[in-house]
Amino acid sequence: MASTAQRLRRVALPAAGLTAALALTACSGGQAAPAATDGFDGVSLTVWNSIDFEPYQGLQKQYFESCAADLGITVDVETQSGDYTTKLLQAAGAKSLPDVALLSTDTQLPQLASQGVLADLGQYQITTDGLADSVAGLGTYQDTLYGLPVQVEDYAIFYNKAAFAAAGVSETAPKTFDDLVTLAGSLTTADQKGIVLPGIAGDGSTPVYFLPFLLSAGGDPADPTGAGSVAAVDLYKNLVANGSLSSEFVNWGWDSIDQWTSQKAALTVSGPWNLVDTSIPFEWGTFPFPTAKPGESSKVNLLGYVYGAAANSDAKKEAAAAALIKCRASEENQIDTAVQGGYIPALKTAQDAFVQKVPAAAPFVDAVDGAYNSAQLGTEWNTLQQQYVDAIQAATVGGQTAQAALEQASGK
Amino acid sequence: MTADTLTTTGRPGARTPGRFRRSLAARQRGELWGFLGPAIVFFVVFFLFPLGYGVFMSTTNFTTGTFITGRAPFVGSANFEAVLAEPVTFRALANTLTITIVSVVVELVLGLLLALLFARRFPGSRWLPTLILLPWLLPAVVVATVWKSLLAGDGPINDVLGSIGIPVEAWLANPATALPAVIVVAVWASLPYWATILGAALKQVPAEQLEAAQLDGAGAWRRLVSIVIPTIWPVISVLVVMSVVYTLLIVDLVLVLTAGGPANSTVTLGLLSYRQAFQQFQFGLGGAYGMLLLGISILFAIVYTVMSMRRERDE
Repeated sequence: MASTAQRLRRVALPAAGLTAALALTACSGGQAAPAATDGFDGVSLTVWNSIDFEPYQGLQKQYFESCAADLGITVDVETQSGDYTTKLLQAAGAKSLPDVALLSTDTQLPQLASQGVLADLGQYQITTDGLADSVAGLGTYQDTLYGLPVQVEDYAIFYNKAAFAAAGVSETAPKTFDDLVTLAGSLTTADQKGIVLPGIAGDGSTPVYFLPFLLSAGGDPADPTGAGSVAAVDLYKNLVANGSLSSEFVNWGWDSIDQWTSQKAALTVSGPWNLVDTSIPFEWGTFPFPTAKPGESSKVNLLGYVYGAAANSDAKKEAAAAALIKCRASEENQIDTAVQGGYIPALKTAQDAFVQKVPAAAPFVDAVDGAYNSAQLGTEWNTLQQQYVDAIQAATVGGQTAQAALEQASGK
Repeated sequence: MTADTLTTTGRPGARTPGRFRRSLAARQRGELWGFLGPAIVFFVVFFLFPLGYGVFMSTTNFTTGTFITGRAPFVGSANFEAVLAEPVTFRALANTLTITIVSVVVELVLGLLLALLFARRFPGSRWLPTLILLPWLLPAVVVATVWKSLLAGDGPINDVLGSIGIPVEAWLANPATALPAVIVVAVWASLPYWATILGAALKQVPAEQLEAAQLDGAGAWRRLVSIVIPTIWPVISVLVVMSVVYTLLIVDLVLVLTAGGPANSTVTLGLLSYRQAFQQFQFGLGGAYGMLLLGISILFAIVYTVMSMRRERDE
C-alpha cells in the first residue's frame, strides 16, 4: 500500500510539472493583480452550471441575476447538459472558460486547478469561515482556495416505515453491519427484498454508496485489501447470502432506487436529493450508517460543489467573478437550494436551518463533520472505483471470499 | 510531356486554347486526379487521420491534462505493456472472440434458415420479412434496455419459463449465464440483417438448376449444399467479414446490459477501451486497447483475403 505522502506526490508532481508547462505556454491566467471588489459597472460575466434539473437550475439563474444586479454586473447564466467535465476541459484548452463555473470537488476542481486555469479566491477576501473543516477542504487544491463550497452531498440509509410495521420491527437504526444484515433479513418477504444497493460498474453509483460502509468499517479507500475494505465487501456478500439483497444488484446502478420507491425493497442508500422527493408514495425515514464493530463512529464520503472563477488577465473581471461567487454563496441561498433542490448546505448555520425545516436531513448533516473527501486520492480513485466494483461482484455472485476478491481485483 | 513541349510541336502560328495545349495522357491524368481527389481527401480526413491519431494516442500518456496543455508525452510501447499485464485483458479477449465466433455462426445458420423459410410461399410470407427487419432498425442502446428488462429475474422471460416449469434465473446477474445472454441479444439484434441479405441472395439461385437437380433425385439437403450455398457463397463471405468486424467492436450492447459484469464475465476489449478512456480518463491506455482490436481485425482481414485468393485460384 502506498503511503499518503507517496499518493500526494504521485498527484502533486505531475500537476506541478503541468502547471509549469502551462505557464511557459502563454497561459496568462492567475497573473492578475487583485482589484477592488466594487465598481463593476459594465462588466459582463458568463456562469456555467451543470445540474440540469428544476427547480435547481432555475434557482441558480435567479440567485446569480439578483447578485449581478446588486453588483452592477451583466450576467449570462447557462446550464450545460451532457459531459460537463469534457466541456470544461475543452473550454480551458481553448482559453474560453466561463468566468464562473460550478465544479464538482472530486474531479473537476482538481483537474482545472492543477492546470492553473482557476483564480485564487483567497486574494479577494473570500474565506471558508462558517464551514466545517471537511467542507472547507473541498474547495482547496494544494492549500489554495480555488472554489467556494456552496453545497455538499453525503449519504444515509433510507427506510420504508410501512415495511417495518408489516414485519413488526421497531424503527431503530442498526448499529453494526451484523445488525443491518439481521434487520434486512427480517424485512425480506416473498415480494420485497430487505435492502437494495447498486452493484454495477461504470456509472459511479456503486463505489459512491460502498464508501460509507468501507469508511464506517475503519477502512482506507486507498487500501483495497485492508481490513475495512474486506469488512465492507463481506457485508454485501452476507446481504446477498441471506437473501435480503437480490443478486441482480450487480446489474443496477443509480436506478436501484427504483426498487425502493416501487416498494420492492425496504431499505436503500441514497443522497440528499431523496429528502425533497415528493413523488415517493410512502412514509419513509433515514438512518445513519452502521459500523463494522459496536461502539465505533460511522463515517461517510463527501462530494462537494463549489463555484470557481476562471483566472483572467482582466483583473476587474476576475474580481467581479469572485464578488459574484461570494454573493451567490449567501446563507439564504444555500438554505433555499437545500430545501428546494435537495443538497446539504455548505455553511454550518444553513445546515442547522435545513434540519429544522427537513428533520430527516439530520443523519446527513451530522455526518458532514469529519467526512472523507475522495478527491484526496486524485486520479487513483478512478482506478480504485473499478477495483471495488469488481471485488463486490466477484464476492457476491462470483463465489469468492471478500479477501480473495479484493486481492484479485487490485492485483495484490 | 509538358505544356512547353506541346507549344513547340504545335502548328506554327495556330492559336491553341489552353486546354488543348495538353496531351491526351495529361488530360486523362488530370481527370483521374480530379475524380480521385475528393475520395483521397475523404479517406485521409475521415479514415487515415483518426487511425493515425489513435496510433498516436496509444503511444502517449494522453490524459485529461492533455486537453488543456496539448502535451502528451511519448511513452513508446508502455501502454501496450500495461494493458497486456492486466489479467482482465485476456478475459476480455476470450469474451470478445467467443461473442464474435458464436454469434456469427448462429446468425449465419439461423439467418439462412429464415431466408429459406421466407423464400417459400405461405400466409404472411410477404410482410413477415419486413416485420422481422424491425429489430435491426433499433439502436443498440434501445435493444439492450428492452432485453435487460426482459431478462430480469422478475421479467417476462422468466414468467414464461416459470409457467412451463423451466427453472428461472437472473440471467444477467449470474457469471455463468451472463455471457450466453449477451450473445442471445447480439444474435437477436443482427439476425434480421442476415435474413434480409441472404433472402435477396437466394433470389439469384437459378431455379432451373434446382429443378434439374430435383428431377435427378437430389434431396433438399443435397440441393442446399451443392447448389444454393455455392451460389450465394460470395454474399455469405462478405456478410461474415462485416459481422465479424462489427461484433469485435461490441461495446454499447454490453455496456447497457451488464457493463462488463458480473465479475467481468462479459467484459470485452471494446468495453475496456471505453472504460480506460471515458471512465478512468487514461486515453493512452484506451487507445492501446483500440489498437489491439484493430490488430485482430487486420489479422482476420488477412486470413479472409488469403482464403478468397486461394478460392479464386482454385476456380
